Amino acid sequence: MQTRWRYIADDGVSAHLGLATDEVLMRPYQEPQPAPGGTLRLYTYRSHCALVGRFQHLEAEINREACEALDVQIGRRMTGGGAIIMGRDQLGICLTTAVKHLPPNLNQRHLYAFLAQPIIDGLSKLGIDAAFRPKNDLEVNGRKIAGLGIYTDARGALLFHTSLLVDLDVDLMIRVLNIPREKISDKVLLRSVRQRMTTIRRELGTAISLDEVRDVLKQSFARYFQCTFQETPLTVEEEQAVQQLMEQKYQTPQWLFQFSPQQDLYGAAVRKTPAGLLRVYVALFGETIKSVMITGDFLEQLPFFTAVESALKWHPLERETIQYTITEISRRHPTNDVNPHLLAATVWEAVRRARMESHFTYRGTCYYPKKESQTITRQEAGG
Amino acid sequence: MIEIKNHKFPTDVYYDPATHFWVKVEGKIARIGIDDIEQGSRGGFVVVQFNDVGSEVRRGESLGSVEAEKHVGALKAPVSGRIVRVNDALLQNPRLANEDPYGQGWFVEMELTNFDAEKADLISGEANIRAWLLAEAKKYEERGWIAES
Repeated sequence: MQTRWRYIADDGVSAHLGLATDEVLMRPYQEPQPAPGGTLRLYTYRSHCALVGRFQHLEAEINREACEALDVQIGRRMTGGGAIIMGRDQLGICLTTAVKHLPPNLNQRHLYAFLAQPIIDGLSKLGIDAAFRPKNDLEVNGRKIAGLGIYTDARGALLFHTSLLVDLDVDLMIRVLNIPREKISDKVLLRSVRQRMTTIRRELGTAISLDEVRDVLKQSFARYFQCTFQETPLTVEEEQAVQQLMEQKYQTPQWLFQFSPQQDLYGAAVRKTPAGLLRVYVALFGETIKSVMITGDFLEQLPFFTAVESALKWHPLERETIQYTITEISRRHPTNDVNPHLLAATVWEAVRRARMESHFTYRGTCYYPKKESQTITRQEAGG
Repeated sequence: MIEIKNHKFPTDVYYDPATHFWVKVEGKIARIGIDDIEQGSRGGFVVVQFNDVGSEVRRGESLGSVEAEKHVGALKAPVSGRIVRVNDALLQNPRLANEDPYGQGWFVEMELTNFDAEKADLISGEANIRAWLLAEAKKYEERGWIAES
């Protein structure tokens, strides 16, 4: 039997309006009497907005000077994950429902894959073979095309966020996401970012409109949840609630610039190998690896590198388990060029260098660490 | 201490079946944390944030938030009370909740305000805890909720 879901499509929203609206759309699904079905909102932000994840350090992730110069608004999401750029070519997907409406065998470990499936199905309709890449990305041939985030509140309502790249201005992203200027000219690193990301237009080779993508996804969600959509704009009460949330939460410095007790730390290590240079950049968040990027003269090893990067995201800072994780991945991606033990040693050296930082000083994103270390020897890396 | 499916559970605490949080009561103060099977299911804790010390929380309301493997979720209070202390060590190193959930990984301490009524909704006593956990462990295993090692 088909259920009726609410559908909202809007464009050009401000950072605070967009985020506050998503939170208000959770409310009908809170206990004690959650409404049936769910809400799907397919929308775009004004060009452009930079949104950080729930617990990120905004000052560390966003170049505020560049934002002011380029008229980029900043905001903080309820969902986790990293900083993103949103604008007219990035489709925002917001799904709200009650946790109790989802299949009972789902918990946090399965929610992402379950909720990502209608997006994968929609991309398939467009001719793009996308796949879920743990922990929270969609990829096409190893390149990220969408980032996912989930927030559940204490009253049983769920918010699922996705940023789907219909297109992407990589240069703008690099300027806004706190990329050190001296590294913009580094073609190797620029190329590395482009190798790791893709867009719908790039995959299709056509200038497909965002509305066409939106329509396909709407149909895909309807099939997946066996629902019909009824376009239902915000009520007057909801608009008032959005306004209140903007004023009392999303626009406030307390929300935007909140700090976690943990520090972001960044480190890099470079290793000379017989096959060329191997560079590893790490970002740490407390006792966890926040992100890793591996580059060097090994372009054909990109699938191995991206698999390692994904596996090490939010990985505990334990040398033995890092070694184990990389070794396990190397079994699926055999390579003669990069010894997994050597790679693990280089990762650990980057971790060690990050930990040596005693103060919070921003060194770039994981893609563009500001300070590249000196080349280290095999003995120094302990490999 | 009970051990079920490689997960350990002390028996001198109360458990909230809705959240898998444990509550250790001493006088009017309760220390609260997450149990071993649930921490494994949630994955590595990345960030933990609690409401301010001194704030009142009712059972079922949020006493803080956690980001675990990029899923941000509210931490629902298993009992009502006033937060009198938060675990600063956990704020600095959230993985303590994974590594030592009954020791260094505790969440907050609360001054209880309605425990006599609420303890009926919690599970206590070795026999009751064991029976509940056996059923829960089976459910977690069947549904694939237990973390892959």
